[in-house]
Amino acid sequence: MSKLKERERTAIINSLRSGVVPRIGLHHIQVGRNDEVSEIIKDIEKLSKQSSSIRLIIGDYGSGKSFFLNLSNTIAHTYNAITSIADISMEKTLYSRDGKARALYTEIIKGLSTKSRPDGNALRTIIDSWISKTIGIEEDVPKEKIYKELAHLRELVSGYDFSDIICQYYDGYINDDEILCENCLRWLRGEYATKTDAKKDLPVTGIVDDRNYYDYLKIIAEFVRMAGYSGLVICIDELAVLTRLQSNVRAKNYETILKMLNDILQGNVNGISLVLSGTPEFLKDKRKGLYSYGALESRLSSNSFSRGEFKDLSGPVIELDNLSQEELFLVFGNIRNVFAYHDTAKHLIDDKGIVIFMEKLFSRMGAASYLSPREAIKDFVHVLNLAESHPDKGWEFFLTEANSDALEQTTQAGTNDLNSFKL
Amino acid sequence: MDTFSKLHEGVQKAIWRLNWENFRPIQDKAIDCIINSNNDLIISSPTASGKTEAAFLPAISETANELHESVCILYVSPLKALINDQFDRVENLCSELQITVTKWHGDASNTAKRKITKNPKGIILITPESIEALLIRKSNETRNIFKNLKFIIIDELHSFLAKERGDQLRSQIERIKNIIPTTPRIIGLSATIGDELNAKLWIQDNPNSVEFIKENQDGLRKEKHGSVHCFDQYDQDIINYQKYLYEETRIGVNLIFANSKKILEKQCSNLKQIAKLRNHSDNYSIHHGSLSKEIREDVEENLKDTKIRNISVFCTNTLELGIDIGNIDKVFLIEPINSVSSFIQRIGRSGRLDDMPINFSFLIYIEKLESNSLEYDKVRLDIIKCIAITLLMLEEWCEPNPPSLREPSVLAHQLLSHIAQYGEAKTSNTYDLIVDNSFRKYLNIEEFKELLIFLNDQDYIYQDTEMNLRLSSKGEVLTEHYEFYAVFSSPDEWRVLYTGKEIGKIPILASYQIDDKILLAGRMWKIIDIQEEVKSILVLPAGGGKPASFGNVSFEIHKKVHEKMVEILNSEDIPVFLTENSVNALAEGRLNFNNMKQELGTFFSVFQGSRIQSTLALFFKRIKIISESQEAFFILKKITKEEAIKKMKIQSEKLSTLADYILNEVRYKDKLMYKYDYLLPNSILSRAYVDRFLDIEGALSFLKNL
Repeated sequence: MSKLKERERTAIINSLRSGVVPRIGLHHIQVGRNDEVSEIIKDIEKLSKQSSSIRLIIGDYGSGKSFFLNLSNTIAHTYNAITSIADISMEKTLYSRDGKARALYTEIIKGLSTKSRPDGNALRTIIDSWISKTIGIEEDVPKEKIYKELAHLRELVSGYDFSDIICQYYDGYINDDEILCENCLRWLRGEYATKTDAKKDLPVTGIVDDRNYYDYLKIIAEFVRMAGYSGLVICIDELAVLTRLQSNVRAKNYETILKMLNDILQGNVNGISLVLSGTPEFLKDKRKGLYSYGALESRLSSNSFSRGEFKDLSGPVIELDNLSQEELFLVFGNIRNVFAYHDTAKHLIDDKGIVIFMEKLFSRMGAASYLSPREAIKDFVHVLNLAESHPDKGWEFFLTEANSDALEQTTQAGTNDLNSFKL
Repeated sequence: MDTFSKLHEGVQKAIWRLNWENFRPIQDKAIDCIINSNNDLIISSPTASGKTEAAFLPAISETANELHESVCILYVSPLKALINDQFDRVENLCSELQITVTKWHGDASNTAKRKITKNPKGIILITPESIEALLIRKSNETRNIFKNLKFIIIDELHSFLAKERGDQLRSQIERIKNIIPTTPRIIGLSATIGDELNAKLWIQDNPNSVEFIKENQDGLRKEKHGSVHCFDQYDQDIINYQKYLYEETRIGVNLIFANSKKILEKQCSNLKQIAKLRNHSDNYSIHHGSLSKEIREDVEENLKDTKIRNISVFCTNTLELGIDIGNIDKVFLIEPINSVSSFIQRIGRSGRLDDMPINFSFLIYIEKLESNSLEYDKVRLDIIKCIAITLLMLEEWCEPNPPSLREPSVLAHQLLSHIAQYGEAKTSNTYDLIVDNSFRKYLNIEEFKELLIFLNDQDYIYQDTEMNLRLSSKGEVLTEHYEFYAVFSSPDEWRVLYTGKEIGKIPILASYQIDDKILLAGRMWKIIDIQEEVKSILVLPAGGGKPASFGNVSFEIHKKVHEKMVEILNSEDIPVFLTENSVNALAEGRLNFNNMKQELGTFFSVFQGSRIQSTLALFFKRIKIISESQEAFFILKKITKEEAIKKMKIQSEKLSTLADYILNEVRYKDKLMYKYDYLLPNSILSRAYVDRFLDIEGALSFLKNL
């Protein structure tokens, strides 16, 4: 186990305590899901060979989807890939005619990350490294040379405007025209709402819009490769939000997913690993889920021969089960190690304590199927936090308290009659 | 400090430019209330008394500094036409301050709507149907548009009270409040508020926080010229009736009101025919809800145009509400009217200028009596009703607004709309917002569950694994159709096109064929093609033929109107406003009424208003008394009045438990009355049926006094 940095420790503990995925130091707590992780690694390895992949990560709320996406990104960075994670919301969707798809594109581009810039905003880094790799920073490079370097891109759909913008950026870069550079980046982020607005600032004919944003993602995948990276990993989270859209808009969004799926599986795309994640209901609900769209159901339904632990992971769908009790035990152990900087002498709770904690967790009715790792981990971190700040009292003291918290949650659901009302 | 100087400087300039000498009393009071208190407000004063300005001036003044960056004032109107009309007046007030005013209804420009969605500011004029569309289709944008809303001005408030649309609007206001940080104040405007307290309670739970400003009803105290004139076949046939109507309306600016579009279309076409035969210029137009907005707006423009002095418009209640159409010389009513408040609205269209009287005339065509005529006709109930309504108006009585309706079918509608707005909804939040806030606990938790179970069984909603309520595909189809925005029904209508231009719409209640003739916009048309897939009928102008039929509307009649009618029948007075024919008809009605009362053993007189009448009709059905209900009395079959009363008294328990009978023995589909009734389980629908149409208490005390 690599050494734990103070920064990582703080990030992990603070994130887990509030139920979100830490951005860094994931490998310190990751447990299990070895098959799933190695599938993702295979996808990422293939990126550098210019092939593409699409995955749907399916799991219940709190089962670790977002953790899995972040982990994938961390792994991808070690393979020198560019990554981005964006969330679907009512304002950011895969298909729209009023700017919501463009808004999603903007979030993807803003989130572009590299190993050295894991928190996003790496677009500029990427272009700059393309410039230094292919052209260098000598002045008076003839326009023809830049054009020639970008010739390949112009063959792609919408590639013409893109290569023009890169040329403009280069002009600004070489002449220290920060305004021009910023306008180009703004254009690339899809932040011009109309062509008229864009034309005021830049000599272009088109913009990134709801209809062509997918083409631009493909171009950017090409471009990052030209800039020396292995490929582009795009993770889109919270797809369950799509089920809340109006039926016609929802159908168009699913059509978009089908289009991307076909495009990637047929090999028309170079160097993109697209990872979508959502709940089982989002995938399988025949009324509003992906399965409501016939063509998607036939492509995505799981291998009917797979049984229990013998999972077929060759298809696009990866289903994340809730962690088993054994795996959860290991996660708790890892969290304990993080608290103790991997120093067993500083453990705040012993193995027996973890077992007792888990027994209490699983004594709750329905815990075996409904207890989400997120909630369990939150509770556990709370106990360790308390134990750490009150060294005079042992974990035993706080365990009773944490347990009553969890119990409260169940009873709360029961007090308001309507919250538990089931049709 | 005088009222003028309390206003924002920009508003002062605007008023200066309008050249006003002074504020009217209601404007003084309204400005004071808005600026110096936090109360909601109702302004009740006659049409054209400056209500609009009374509401807008202080509202604009209070928000003058914010209106350029956000939408602070939302004006809600029941009619698109009224919005178009108010748009000019409000823009006039706003031009000095350069405040953007946006029309937002089904026929308004989409470009303007898009602009204001992107960059919300100024004042929006809207209908409840467009609010519904906004909440469902643009739920995120709606939050942004209304984020700094300070005032909601509701025009023609009386038209919302105790109506389905009123319940819808109340609920929409709560739903808007639920997504924005501000709490907008509400200003209601109306010409006729019958019951101050009920109107205040519609605005909010605490009536003490609602001020009520009323103009002395000088408008109604002004001189009135009016007559009740009728025609029957003894001396003048239908042709003569039309000729008379033609002579009366050929010159001057007149409105001719009827209740049904069918009668309007028929009479308008007839008078146009007469003008043509006599080589006169055709001064007749028609205005009703089924016509295209171009035709309607043309008519409104022509009425306002002071250069056009000869124009007569056939109209329904679309011209009853407060669209400003300038002064009308005379108002004609060619069908009896059922409520005093509606009557006041109609005749108030005339006499708007200071030196002009209110001028109206009932012109009622009555059938010649035969031995087998209906008792209704024998008593001349049509004429009696016109007399009663006129007398009550002169006595300055007006129907009180019943308390807020809390209509359950609208509740179910709003429930689905709420789920559609968010895509998913928590059960308890939904109860709090829709049932508790908007419908003031009309349903308790158990009844609400019953409603959810019913909607689930009918496959409109379902619950996802997170226990959220969601729309199933049937629910989506329902809520995503534009017809869902309106809670009142309009029959499925087809467009009628002549050379590609829309003349209007007709309901497809009757089936049409090529070569059939239809009446629309006062002209006869021949159908040359029917395009089912786009619901269009192509026509060419034609002459002669049977008119298109429009669905009839039934009205509630207040007890007081019936009581006045029976008072007239029992008296010997002859009101001065009757013409000779009407005096004869009145005498005929009185004679027949007294004869039937004394001689006809099966004549069962009630005259207690439509609710008690309907309650008794159901009671009769339950205790197996066969009868025919004729608005205010019954004609009994196979039983005398004495026997019937005896039977009723013995079985009175079956009247007090009538609600059980409706719940258990009246068929579900016979209780479906309103557009979204089919979203209600039997228990809730049955209770609603009683609330809507019946008065069991009233019927019991009527029975006790027999």
